Amino acid sequence: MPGRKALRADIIAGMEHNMEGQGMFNYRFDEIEKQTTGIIFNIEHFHVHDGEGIRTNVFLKGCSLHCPWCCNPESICPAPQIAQYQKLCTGCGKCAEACPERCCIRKEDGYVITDFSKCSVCGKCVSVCPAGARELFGKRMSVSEVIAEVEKDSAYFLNSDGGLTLSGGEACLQPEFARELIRAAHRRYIPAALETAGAVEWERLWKAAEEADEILMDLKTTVSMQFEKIGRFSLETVTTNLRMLAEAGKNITLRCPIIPDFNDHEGHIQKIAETAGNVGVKKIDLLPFHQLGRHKYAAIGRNYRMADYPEIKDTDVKKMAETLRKQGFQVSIGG
Amino acid sequence: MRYYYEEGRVKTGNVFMDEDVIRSARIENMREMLLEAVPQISSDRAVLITEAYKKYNNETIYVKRVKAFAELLEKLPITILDGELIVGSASDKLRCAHIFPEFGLDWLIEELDGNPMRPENRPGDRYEIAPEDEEALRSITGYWYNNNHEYRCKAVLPEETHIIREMGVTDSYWLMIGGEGHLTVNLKRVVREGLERYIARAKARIAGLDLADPSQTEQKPFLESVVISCEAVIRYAARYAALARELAAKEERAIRNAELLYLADVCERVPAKPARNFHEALQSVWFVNLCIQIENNGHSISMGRLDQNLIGFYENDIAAGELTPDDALELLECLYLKLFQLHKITSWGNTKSFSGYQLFQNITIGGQDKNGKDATNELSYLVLGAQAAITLHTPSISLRYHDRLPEKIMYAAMDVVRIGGGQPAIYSDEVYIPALVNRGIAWEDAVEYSVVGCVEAIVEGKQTGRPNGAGFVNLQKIMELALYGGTDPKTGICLHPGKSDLNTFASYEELYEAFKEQIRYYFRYQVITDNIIDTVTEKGIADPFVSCLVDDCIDRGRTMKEGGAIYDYCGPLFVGAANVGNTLAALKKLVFDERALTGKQVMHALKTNFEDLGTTPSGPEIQKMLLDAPKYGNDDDYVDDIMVDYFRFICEEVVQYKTTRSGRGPVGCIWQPSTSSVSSNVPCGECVGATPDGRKSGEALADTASPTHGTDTKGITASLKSIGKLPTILVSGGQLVNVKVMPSMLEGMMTRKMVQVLRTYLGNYKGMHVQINCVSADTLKAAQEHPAEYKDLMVRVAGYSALFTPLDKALQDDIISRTEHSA
Repeated sequence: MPGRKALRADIIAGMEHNMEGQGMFNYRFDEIEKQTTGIIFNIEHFHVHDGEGIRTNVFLKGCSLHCPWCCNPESICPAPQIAQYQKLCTGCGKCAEACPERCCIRKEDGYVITDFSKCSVCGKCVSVCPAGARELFGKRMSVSEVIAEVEKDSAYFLNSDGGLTLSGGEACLQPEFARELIRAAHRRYIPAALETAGAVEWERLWKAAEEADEILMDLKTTVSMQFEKIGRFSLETVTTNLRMLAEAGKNITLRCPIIPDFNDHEGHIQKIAETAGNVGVKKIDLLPFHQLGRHKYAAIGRNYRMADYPEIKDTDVKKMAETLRKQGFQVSIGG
Repeated sequence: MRYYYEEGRVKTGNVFMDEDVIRSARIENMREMLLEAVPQISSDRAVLITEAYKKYNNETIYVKRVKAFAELLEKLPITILDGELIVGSASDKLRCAHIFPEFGLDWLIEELDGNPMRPENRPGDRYEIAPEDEEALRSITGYWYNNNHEYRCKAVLPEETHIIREMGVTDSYWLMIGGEGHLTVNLKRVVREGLERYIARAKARIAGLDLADPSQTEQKPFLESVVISCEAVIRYAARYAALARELAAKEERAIRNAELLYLADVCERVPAKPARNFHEALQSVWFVNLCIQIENNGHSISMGRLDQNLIGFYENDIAAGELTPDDALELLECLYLKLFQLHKITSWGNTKSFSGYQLFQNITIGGQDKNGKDATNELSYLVLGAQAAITLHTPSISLRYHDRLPEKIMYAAMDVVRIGGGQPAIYSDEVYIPALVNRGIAWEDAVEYSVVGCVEAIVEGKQTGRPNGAGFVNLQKIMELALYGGTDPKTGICLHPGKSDLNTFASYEELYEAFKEQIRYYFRYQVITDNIIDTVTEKGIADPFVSCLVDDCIDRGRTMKEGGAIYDYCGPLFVGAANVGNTLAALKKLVFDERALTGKQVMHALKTNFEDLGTTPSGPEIQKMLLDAPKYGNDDDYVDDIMVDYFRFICEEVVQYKTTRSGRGPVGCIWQPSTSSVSSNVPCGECVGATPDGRKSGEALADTASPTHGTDTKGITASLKSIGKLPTILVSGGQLVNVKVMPSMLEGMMTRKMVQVLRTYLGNYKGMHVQINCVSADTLKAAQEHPAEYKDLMVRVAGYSALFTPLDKALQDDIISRTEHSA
């Protein structure tokens, strides 16, 4: 790991390079930051797994893939949507009274079900629910609104070399917004990382990634057949994108989910090593499958196919990490 | 002398500074034995002091107290446990609470009668009592009826004090049945000079008194009692020396025999004479603190900056080859076990506010010297290492942070935090020192502060008055009174009518002013109450031993209650700070800014505990709206601004009052604020009805300056940033913050990020204090269900560590519900 001082100088030099000719305090950026908007479903503080130091993650909504193990299923649909947590519902029926589309239906047993097909996502049910059983995922926000929330953590970033991380969904599906967020961060001397699955046209990816200080790039599988099942892009798109990012000199960490009955075997680990080795990537994160997102599937009316899969054993992941470390990679588990 | 042997040592499973933590056979055996022992009530002290009080009835209070003290030290049973290297136990029972009938006895007799329950039936902090002890205690009640500190306080306190306590606004009852405590005496000086020098100084002062001058005649009884008390303590140590020789004569194991003979030498040497090595220094410190604990039943009697005060002895011994770091570690561990043995029982009502068998005996490490240089030394690491091995709730380890503190000690501290129990708590010099200087303490003394109690900074051996040891002030109760126009909804009592109430407030400013008005009234009564109690203590307790160990009591010829100390501050403990901020913010937003609700609607919802379904919006809907309003702890300026503004007001309101020592010698003598709520946020919550922060009737209040449980949803960074906005420099009595993290946050590289968060909070944001509980809710729940399997599970409760399983269920639930900050 580079020394603290070296790293900071490095990041600042990068940021200054990217800002060249833009004029730091030009009022024009004020307007751009106000006018550029995107749909996000969360801003989370104190992330410690997604990039250097302490991060504030902005989750952009919409994804080009639909991985069955996804722990943020609310990220997949690009539009805002309503979630209903059955466990918290008391069946009071306030949502049914408030719903203009009549998609909240009170059943005889006292509980409410939601017909998401008719929902117009007006959000009225969320504001009236006294039990907190409803949540609205997705909100259109401007760059200036988002960056104001991120900038609150400046002191933590400074002390840890942390910064903003754009996550998703697939952040590159809103490339203009992503690019402007990164620029806005740089204008405030905040480093910015971009997390992407790479399953997107190069032009969009590059638009979002060009000015990012750090790229966290997913490698979900190295088998084309497998990849085609989870999205409309080919695996080749991802590997080509990865190569081009590497050629452009980007600081890349490869992020590899370890999924039971999918890629949880040594052969896959070997392929990861090859892929990383081919493009000169040194850092690999192994992300073992977990069930912490299970409750959200039912809440948004989405079918969850991996509800009964066991979580990956610690010892297995540690073994995989060891295999990679022996080949000279910097590996972390869980990011 | 070498103590440490490898035979029979056990691995604890803990890791400290990349090494397995080991307990020697000696420590393992003693620790196991003490953990198994159930705390017991002894009648020994109570009976002895009753006899002494009768015998010396006509003496001045100084002489009566000191002669009683001397008899206690002469007659209380003493023991030396097998393997002990530091000796001195308050009793022959392993974990024993003495009774102090000269303060109060009625509460105990009532509890023994089953009201509200017998000590062995308590849901937490249980004590057993043998039939003969119970009989002995009951036999002395006649003497103390209408003849002790509690009765004397009650006789002179105004009627309002009792009403206010009944309403649950302030509570100073523990000071009527308990002693002063809350200090670190000049241990450094005792260790260097020995008590014989103290005796000589007192005698010289007596010889120089001009008895024709009444102001000097006054000093004579105190100075004489200093001589008697120090001589008594020296004789007490000699009893241990004799016992050690007696045991050695019978001891067949050559190693233990040599140890006992050495212990006899040590006890003959200290605390009478200056300590010559590390062992003697530790033994001297322990004898002195133990005797203070026997003299008076105050708590928070602490050890000061142990690493700074004793480093010279340690380094000399190491250089001379007389000690190895392993030996020193074992000596420290023996001292920790002595601290763990000590118990003090107070009434069940008070216990709820101080739960966890806690005596708040702090050891302070780290910090800086008067030139601003980092003061961390090898002993600082040994103090942490001993805690990693002992892992009990006592002592409380306090690490002083400053911006130049080495990363290494932060990591070492995180290693201990990871083991559990929230040790060490971390205090920031960056704000404590300026806070003390702001109150008038000289810089060179302020940099020497150490921690007593929960978070009280005190200048060792120079400061008295209980820096935050006055009564509890229930801020949210005062807020409730303001909302109800001054009338307590529970009791119907109205001591201080307001101009209007929540039904009629025309503006936010009117509401805020009504709150301030109630604060002014009740703060004033709290000062009146505590000052009266202090006066009664001064006249009726006047403890000479503890006083003579504080500078300049001997030179001035005054006890510390008479103004003998160099510095003196006192202050109340605020409870429910976050609830008040959240209440003001919710009402401002919904009633006055947005007009989404009327004051009347909210009032009705409060009176019906948010349960009335017949209104529009309904009770639960109003509660939801109130809960959705901005909450302190999320770095939201809307509520944080309100919080900071009112908090500054209460800090400034308190400091206008004076203590009873004012004008009698010490610097300071003012009241100062603190947010050390200990565990009183639970009982304080019980007497407050539903409040506009969305809290239902009877629910616990927020602890300390921490956000209300479960409302700081944006994680630890946002939470600490909000807390960092408070004008903490004014909280010279100590600001306290609890955070809880999952153990995974302190593993591997995560430790680094946690340290970065702490440095940001303590350094950049000028946070005063933080304690990190590293346990999962699942572990706590499991412990609740299967207490037998978790008998050594520790948690940190608002300022201190406690064994978890003895706590009562309401508090256990409260701890579980505190927000879990994790990545």
